[in-house]
Amino acid sequence: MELCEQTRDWLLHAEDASRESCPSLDLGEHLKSCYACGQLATEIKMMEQAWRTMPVPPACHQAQAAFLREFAQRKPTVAPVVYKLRFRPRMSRWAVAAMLLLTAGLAGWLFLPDNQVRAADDVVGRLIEWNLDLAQASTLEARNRLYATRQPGLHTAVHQEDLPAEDRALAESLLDNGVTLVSLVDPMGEADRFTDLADRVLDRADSAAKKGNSNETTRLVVHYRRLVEKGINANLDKVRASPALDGDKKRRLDKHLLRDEKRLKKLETLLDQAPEASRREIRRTMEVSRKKHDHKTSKGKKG
Amino acid sequence: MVRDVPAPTGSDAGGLDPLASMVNEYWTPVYRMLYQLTGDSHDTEDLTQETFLRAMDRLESFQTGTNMRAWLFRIAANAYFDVHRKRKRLKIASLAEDLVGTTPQPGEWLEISEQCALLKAAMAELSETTRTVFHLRVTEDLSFRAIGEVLDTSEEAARWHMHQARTKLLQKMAKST
Repeated sequence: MELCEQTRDWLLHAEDASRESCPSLDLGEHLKSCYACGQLATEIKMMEQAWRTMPVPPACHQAQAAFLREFAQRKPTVAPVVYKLRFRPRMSRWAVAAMLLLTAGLAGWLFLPDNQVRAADDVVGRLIEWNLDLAQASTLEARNRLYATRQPGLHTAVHQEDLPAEDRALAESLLDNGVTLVSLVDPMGEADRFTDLADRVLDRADSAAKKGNSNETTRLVVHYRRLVEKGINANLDKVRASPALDGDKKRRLDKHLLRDEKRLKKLETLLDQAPEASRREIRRTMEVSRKKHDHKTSKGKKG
Repeated sequence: MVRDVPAPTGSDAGGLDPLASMVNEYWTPVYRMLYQLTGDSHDTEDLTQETFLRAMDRLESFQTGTNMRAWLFRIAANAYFDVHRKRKRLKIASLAEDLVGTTPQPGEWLEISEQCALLKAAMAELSETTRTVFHLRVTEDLSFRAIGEVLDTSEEAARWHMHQARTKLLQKMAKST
């Protein structure tokens, strides 16, 4: 009885009223074994989940857009000032050194292999990372938290930023995929959806390569590689590792192997037609894909 | 007026970029916090705008590296309490209206909408501070210590309010089912 009171008291006061956060083994064990205390923990969890995932009123986003528009239209109240530019007839040594350093840094940023092409800096990149973080979270509770904290900002970014039509379509699909990811934990289904997304990204990379746009091609290839590694392969590994691997799942795994092969061929074609500056990333992606494909094929043969 | 100074760069002009970034990132959490306090979209909109305007005025006082979200929540809470000190009840009717026609969020696939309405009604009966503590802990994942700083109270007091919130909400939800 005393242990019940202590457990109840802890549950009602705790920052995180879950079994995993129990401050002592006794309480943890009691929570597992006592029906009433376990029930209380479940009710608190469900109640908090319900509050956490309540929809934001639609007026929220409208108000945000209106606020930003209003402030974009406001004129500065300070009187305009006429600036007289300083003119230096000769550049100092330090200015020359700074320019050389800047040029070297820029060249390094463009051409280094572990390049700092910050795919995650753009909206599509951020959406992909968010999708992958959701997929990596193993419980719906953790996914819902990630959804609630990051979805609103991403949603706003998609609807406010001036995205090209294809990026916008991809961004909308990623937002929708986020909704699906928080409704069910289903590694096979997730692998299927990430495969569709990866195929679309690869097609975009192909178009960019044909236009000779190396930055865009590189950006998309990096996105593609992230989707394949963390979205497709990670989920297929979970499927393979699950004890209940039935005939249907095995067939679907085989289909993934075939799609994998097709994508490898597409990457080879991409390599041939891509601008030189983006080939390094494409080769890196092909290596990653080949290693994984060979591993999957050999496992399939053994199994 | 002529000044002998270097020409301004693009990034110096207007000062809108810091505001736009701050708004894009934090508008929704601030709005949500104020909405659970006021229960009214119009009041919430006014207060949210006020929060960001105050934040822009005080941006120099913000210590880089500290939690901007919690800082904004504090400004929002103060804005609310400045304006609504005498209000004691949420407008439950307007909460219900706002629920209609919203795009279903993932939580609603797991939760019956009637229970959401019950939960909102139960929240409305809590004190403002208790509601806000519950909201900031559950939705924004702030620690009790951070919540105490937002609401200008102690960590222990924030923990007590959470106890109150859970106890009363569970009682009300149990009575309603």
